[in-house]
Amino acid sequence: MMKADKRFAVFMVLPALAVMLIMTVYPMASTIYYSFTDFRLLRRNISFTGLKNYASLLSNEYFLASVWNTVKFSLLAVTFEVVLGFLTALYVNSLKSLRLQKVLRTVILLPYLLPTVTAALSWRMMLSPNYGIVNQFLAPMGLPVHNWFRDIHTAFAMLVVIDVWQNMPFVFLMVYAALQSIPQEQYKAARIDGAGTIAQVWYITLPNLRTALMLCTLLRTIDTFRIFDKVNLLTGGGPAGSTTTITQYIYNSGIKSLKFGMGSACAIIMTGLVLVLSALYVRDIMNQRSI
Amino acid sequence: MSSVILKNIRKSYDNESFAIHDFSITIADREFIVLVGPSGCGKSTVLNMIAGLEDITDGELFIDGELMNDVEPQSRNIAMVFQSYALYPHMSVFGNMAFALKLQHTPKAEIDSRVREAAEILGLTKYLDRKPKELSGGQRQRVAIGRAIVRKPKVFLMDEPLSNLDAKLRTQMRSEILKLRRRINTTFIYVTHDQTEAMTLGDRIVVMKDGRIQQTGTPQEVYSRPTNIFTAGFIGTPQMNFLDAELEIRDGIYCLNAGGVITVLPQDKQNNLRSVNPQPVTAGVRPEHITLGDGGKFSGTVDISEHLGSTIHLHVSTLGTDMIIAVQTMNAQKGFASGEKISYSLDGRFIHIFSKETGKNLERYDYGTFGL
Amino acid sequence: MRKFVLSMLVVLLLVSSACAEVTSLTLALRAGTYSEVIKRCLPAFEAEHGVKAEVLELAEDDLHSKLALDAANSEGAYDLCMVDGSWMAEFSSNGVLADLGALGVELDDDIIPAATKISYYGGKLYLVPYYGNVTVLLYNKALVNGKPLNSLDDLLSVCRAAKESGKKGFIYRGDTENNLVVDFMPVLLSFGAWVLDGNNKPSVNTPEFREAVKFYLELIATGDAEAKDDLIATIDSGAGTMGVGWPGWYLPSESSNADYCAITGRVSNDGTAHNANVYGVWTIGIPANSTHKALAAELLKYLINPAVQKSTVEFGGVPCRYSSLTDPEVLAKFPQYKVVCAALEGGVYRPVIEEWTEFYTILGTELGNIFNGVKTVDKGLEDAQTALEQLMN
Repeated sequence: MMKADKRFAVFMVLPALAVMLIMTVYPMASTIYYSFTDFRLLRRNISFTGLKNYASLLSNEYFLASVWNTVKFSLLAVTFEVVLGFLTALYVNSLKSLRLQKVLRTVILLPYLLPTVTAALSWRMMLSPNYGIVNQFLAPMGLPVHNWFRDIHTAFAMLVVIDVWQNMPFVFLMVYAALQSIPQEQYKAARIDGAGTIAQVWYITLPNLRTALMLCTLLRTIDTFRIFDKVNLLTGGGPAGSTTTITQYIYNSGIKSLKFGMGSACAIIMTGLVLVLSALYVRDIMNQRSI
Repeated sequence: MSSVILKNIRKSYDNESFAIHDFSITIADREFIVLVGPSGCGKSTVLNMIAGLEDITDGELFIDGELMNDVEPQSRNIAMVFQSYALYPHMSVFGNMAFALKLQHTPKAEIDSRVREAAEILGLTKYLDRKPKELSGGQRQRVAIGRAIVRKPKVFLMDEPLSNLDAKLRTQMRSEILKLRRRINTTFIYVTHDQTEAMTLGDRIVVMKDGRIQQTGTPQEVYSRPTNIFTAGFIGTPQMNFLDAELEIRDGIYCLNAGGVITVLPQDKQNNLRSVNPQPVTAGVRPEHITLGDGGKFSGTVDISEHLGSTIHLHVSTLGTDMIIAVQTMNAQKGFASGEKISYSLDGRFIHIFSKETGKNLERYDYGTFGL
Repeated sequence: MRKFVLSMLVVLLLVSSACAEVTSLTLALRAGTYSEVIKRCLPAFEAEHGVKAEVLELAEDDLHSKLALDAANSEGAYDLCMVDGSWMAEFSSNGVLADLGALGVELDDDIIPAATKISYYGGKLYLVPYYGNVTVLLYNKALVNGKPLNSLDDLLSVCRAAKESGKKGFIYRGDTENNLVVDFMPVLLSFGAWVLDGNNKPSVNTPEFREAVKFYLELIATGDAEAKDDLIATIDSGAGTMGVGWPGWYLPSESSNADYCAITGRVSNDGTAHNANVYGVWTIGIPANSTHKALAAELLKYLINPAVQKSTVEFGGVPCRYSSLTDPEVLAKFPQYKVVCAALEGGVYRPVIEEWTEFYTILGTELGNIFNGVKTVDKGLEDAQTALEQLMN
């Protein structure tokens, strides 16, 4: 009986396992394998080159610049997204009118519902130096019409702004949901204990939101690290490489030129970086759970 | 060490209807007062207004002679214990108890000694480093109480503090609260929906319904002289029995006609009822005040017999209604079977007479002798 | 119930056999006017041959990688594909394309000869020039105001004048390495310089190259970098004066705000003229792993038929054929085709080297650094030369 049960269980898990193997393990394994070869699409012969790809990447100033750009982007975007999302959630949650809360919730969520490509293209139109609405606002105020994505001083910041605009709602939603589950009596007790608004946020809200905030930070870090569509559509990595992220670098130097061996090495380095960064949060979240 | 005075307090959430109507009470220094009533009667709202967690729409609140309407909760010198304990989950037991003192920038040594003292009283000393999650319900409740007592408040507010505990623990904690009260000796305002807690803990009880005070008095008074049907039914278990009857005057003497059986009312009730006109009334008799016996003028049929150990509750069909009769086990010669015919009598001294129209007790105690 | 199932089966069989009878060709095309004009020609061919043609419209990079990926399969997904001249070396040396001669396709004299330079590899025909894309100078009529545009010096003075009057002068595309390189190429060619020397070795750190970059810096200082759509809009609206563009971008007319002309290839009015128009010709080939090569060859022959090609003109087609570009009827309606014809005759293909993608990525990166002031001209070109030499070794 037990044996039959066990066999049945294994049988039931098999399809999922097979899908996992085909969809995840196989591509992962081949990426790792290719990263040690000079594999180029269209060329039939592949030879093993050891760490050559890694060595040439790590000594390439443009790759290193793209790593730095990605880390910088991730840190800035995640910080703003989490802080703004948290503050917005706090504000909306504090509103007395439930109807207003509902309306705001929907409105704030809208950017998150847009496909990234749509969002990127709308921003490109809005910031266009010709017909862009932003510049049309600036012009009458006597401010110069600005070419946001082609100016080396503003392009990177614009990408951060757009990512924050689109993904802050995600943090907002998570935090808002978490806020609703904090027992009101904790606040009452804190008020009686003499906690003012700021002390309440610090001693009650923040500790109760810790898991939600860590989770947001983790997910947003992973996601921002992989940013591609916005960069590719809006700046193509320019001007002068100031917005080239790792993915854009992979695209330019690995995919477009069909150098998949090199591209794989890039991807492995990127995955490693994401793992290291997220490991910190994951460990923290796991610790939280165990308490 | 202070009195609490509520003067014509009203509360409205929408400026149209009132959740609390004209609530007035004077609570003496070191008095233990219990607000009791069914859920939604407004008792917690009153407590929250005293604590400063909710605004007072109208009326005045004095603590220790000072007007407190617009004073922040932390400056009212009160402490509060919540039904859900409301412990800070990320702080240790020590942290929870020290929180208020920490916010007041109390010196570290003093915080330490005060928390340890409270922990000692409550038997929490060995749990000081634990997080609330690691404690049992009873222990959490103690921490909540400990958090309140380290502040040495003038007024101690408790909002259904025992409702989340199981029955056995509740009885135990009840007596611990009494001990605590003797020890810290301050003013207590205690909210509960459980009349047993009210009767056992309170110096005085305030019975509330629909945002209004129904009756204020000692447990004894509320039990024996309920001012209306609601209080009569709410206080005491099992609930008081109510029957339709006629108040009649025969030969200048007040009598109760229930189902054709005439009961002459005793002398003190004759006084108390003075100048009341004969009328249809609701008569109330507590189950424990009915005497079973062959000589009884009333008769009925036993539906169910519940043996509770010290007492037996008989559910009896009589006078067109269902009545509960509590029989002391030691007085019962035998068991009772369903369908068994019994007879019983009512003692005029223990009959409460309420107006059918208003539900108010028709007796006026102000000129009368003390009832039982 | 059983009857129902049976009848459904019969229906299914009928439908599937009907489907099987119609051969279906899959075309991988560059999205835009390029695929539009081909789609307009298809119904007639489909009707005549009883086939169905599926068209996949792809962006340039997408098309490149899709073709390359599919080349690895023994049975290809595509039967006809558009190929950018710069992929020729990579594709032909790896056997991606079928020998068109063996399939009965040949080039005739009507096709502009310069455009066929990349069609052959090892003496075999692989690609047929189809859409005559070649760089032209797109300019705003009002801002140029009839001033001559005969040399780079002329362009610079017009652009400077525009800048002084508060408008933008020269606009270039700054969004990808490819665009940075291509927009710069006409100036580079005018200076008699090129990215490779006679031995196909990188030559981006030569005096002529440096001169060209320095001149270009002066030119782009009068305007700014924009994306393609913005570039066109800026010039059309009169906010900017000129930029390097392609005939497919803009349809000039008597009343239009902008027009285009060929780039003369002269630096100064008394200097020598070089071939300075860069080809972006879209050619058509047949993947070697196509499963319908014969039919695809029929379609190709049909598409490059002079009459068929001429019919695409009114929808924005730019054939590489004299018969279309010098046709009096066509010129009466679209006088700018004279300019296109001239530009095509003096057109230059981007280098036919296997490493071209990496080549332009490296060069574009360094040019971007120079244009944005991150590196000096000397430093940028030096770095580019070093990296390119490493690449080509």
